[in-house]
Amino acid sequence: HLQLNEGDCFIEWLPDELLTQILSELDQTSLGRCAQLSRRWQRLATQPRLWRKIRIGCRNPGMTPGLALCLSAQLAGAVLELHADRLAADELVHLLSGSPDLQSLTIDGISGPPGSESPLVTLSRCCRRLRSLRLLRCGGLLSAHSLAQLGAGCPHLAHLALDFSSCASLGGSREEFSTLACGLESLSLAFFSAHAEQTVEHLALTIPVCKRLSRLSIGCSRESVLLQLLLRMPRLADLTVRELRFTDKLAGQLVAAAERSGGFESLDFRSCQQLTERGLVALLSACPSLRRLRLSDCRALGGVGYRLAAARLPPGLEQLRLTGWAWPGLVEADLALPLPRGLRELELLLNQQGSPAGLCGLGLRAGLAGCRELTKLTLDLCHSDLLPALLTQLPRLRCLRLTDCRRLTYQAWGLTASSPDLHELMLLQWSSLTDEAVADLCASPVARGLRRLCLSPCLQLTRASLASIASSCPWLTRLTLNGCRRISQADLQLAQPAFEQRVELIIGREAEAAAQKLQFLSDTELD
Amino acid sequence: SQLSNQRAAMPNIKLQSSDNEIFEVELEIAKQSNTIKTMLEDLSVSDDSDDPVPLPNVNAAILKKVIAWCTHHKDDPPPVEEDEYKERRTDDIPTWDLEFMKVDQGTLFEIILASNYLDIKGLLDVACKTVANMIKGKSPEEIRKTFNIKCDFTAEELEQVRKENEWCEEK
Repeated sequence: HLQLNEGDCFIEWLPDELLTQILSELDQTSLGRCAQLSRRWQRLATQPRLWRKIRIGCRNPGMTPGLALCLSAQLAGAVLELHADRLAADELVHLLSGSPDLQSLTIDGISGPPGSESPLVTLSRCCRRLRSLRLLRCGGLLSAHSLAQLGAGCPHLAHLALDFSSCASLGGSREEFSTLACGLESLSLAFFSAHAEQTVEHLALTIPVCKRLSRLSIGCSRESVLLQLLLRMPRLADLTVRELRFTDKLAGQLVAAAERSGGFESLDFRSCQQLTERGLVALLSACPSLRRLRLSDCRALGGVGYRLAAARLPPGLEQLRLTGWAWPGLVEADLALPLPRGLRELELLLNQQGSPAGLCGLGLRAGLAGCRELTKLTLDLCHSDLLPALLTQLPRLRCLRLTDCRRLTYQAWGLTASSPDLHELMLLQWSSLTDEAVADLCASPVARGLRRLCLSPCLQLTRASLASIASSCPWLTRLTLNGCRRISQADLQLAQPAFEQRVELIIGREAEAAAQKLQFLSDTELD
Repeated sequence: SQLSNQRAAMPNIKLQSSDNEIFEVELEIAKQSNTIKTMLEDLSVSDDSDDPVPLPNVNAAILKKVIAWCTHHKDDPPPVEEDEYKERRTDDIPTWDLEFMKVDQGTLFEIILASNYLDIKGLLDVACKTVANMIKGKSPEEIRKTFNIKCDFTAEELEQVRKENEWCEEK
């Protein structure tokens, strides 16, 4: 689209209303740049309704003292969602007092000395419509006083999330916290330290019945605490627990809770070594409307557990993530058991390949045969016959991540005759990754629509690979090459004209981090 | 064979472009345009009428593109009423649409005007996202160059507006 004749300015044909619609698709950085184009663009890009969601931080070069006051005037109270990244307390106070319609606030740390008023007090004084509050790195901010104020000033507050440092001060204000928690619909508390463990135990004992609470995410390691909380949250439908071992006893209590509330919609447990088939089966049977299930470290389940679970997964399940250690006794025939037809996202990281009898996932060809809605698939199982089969039978697949491609040979791409409109492809531990292998990948129908491509390990790749990618993946916006030594940003500059969009090339340490992130995601990812 | 019978029975209508070219289109494809749909309802034009529907704001070249888009998307699920505050994404455009939008700027902006006039939400959205993607990641000077936008600020004003918007830059 880039070729224009001197003097042609087609974009100015558009009336204000349509230019505004284009601007509404932009992030705040692009919007700020559009305001600098001309008088007309400035007038359109500064319309308050385009600035409902803003993110502002102290490390920003434009963050000068007094800016908050100017912004409050300029945005005329339009801000509905604010993310404040280590702002000075007084600046934050100015922004909050100028945002009467604010619905969602994240405070990620406060810099500088305490201001004239605590931001949380300003919040409760000025932002009556607040629905959601997230506090990160805000150790001293929560006090008995500010909690009481929040309860009175923000009657619509429904979602509260506190990280571990923001939780630390709750111990001294249990009553005020309990009053606030009563009206919440979702609560996320991250407790990690042994000290905090006691706090959460006390809270669990003082918290009143939360009639509206449907979503709880908590880091705690004592079963008794969770059981206390379950009794006080009769409408709980969405539960995420970190640190706690999932046992059959807990499964039994969850079944009882599910019977009281009508069943869970979402369950996410990170440490399930002690969960047996019996516990899992009872739980699945009690949750016919389960939409998301994530279990990690299911060492006690094994093939029998998988077989029993697969047969009982509710038909409406949309997201299934089973990660962590080997499921002993799991065989290909287990993977061939049909998975729910409505599944949109599947992550199976079973760490099977380390063992001699490791699976290669061919069973999934049958297992996923009915899953035509699947859009995201992450597997550590791979085989050159599996890949073409999946690409043929999953018409809506957009994101495919294969984290262990040791069994992937060049044949896979030759066998791939058709492909869904794949936007993201990640291939890790691809031991035969050479320029020729990249050329094969690029010659296959997979390449055309890719926006993001991540390959590892890229030690052997040269500029020839970049040339293949540039000629076959015109829509690429991000290319991550882990362990790459022979391709540089300068090479990308030369190849850039072949792409339709500016491509971000990630090599070196960042690429390694990106490639490793996925494996750790299942264990350490935070809300 | 039942399917092919249905297809054969599918009624067509005629659309007339501003430069008087006539296009015969399946009714269901044409009805993706709310403007055409409403015209047919309001004017109670019967489905088997042979009179073309006049579209005085759309020329033949653009109407041809619009019909091609509607034909490709005829089996799409109906657009969902989007939550106004939903996260806006411009990186999820189907590849077919990306290729479809690879046209000169004159055509691209005429498609936007036509899809607005014809009220085809899906096409207008994808065209606006395409333009947004042409803006994203560029400096003000690069954006001006991309679209030939004339800067009518004085040097002082330009410096002022640059400073005012510095905070928008993330990281």
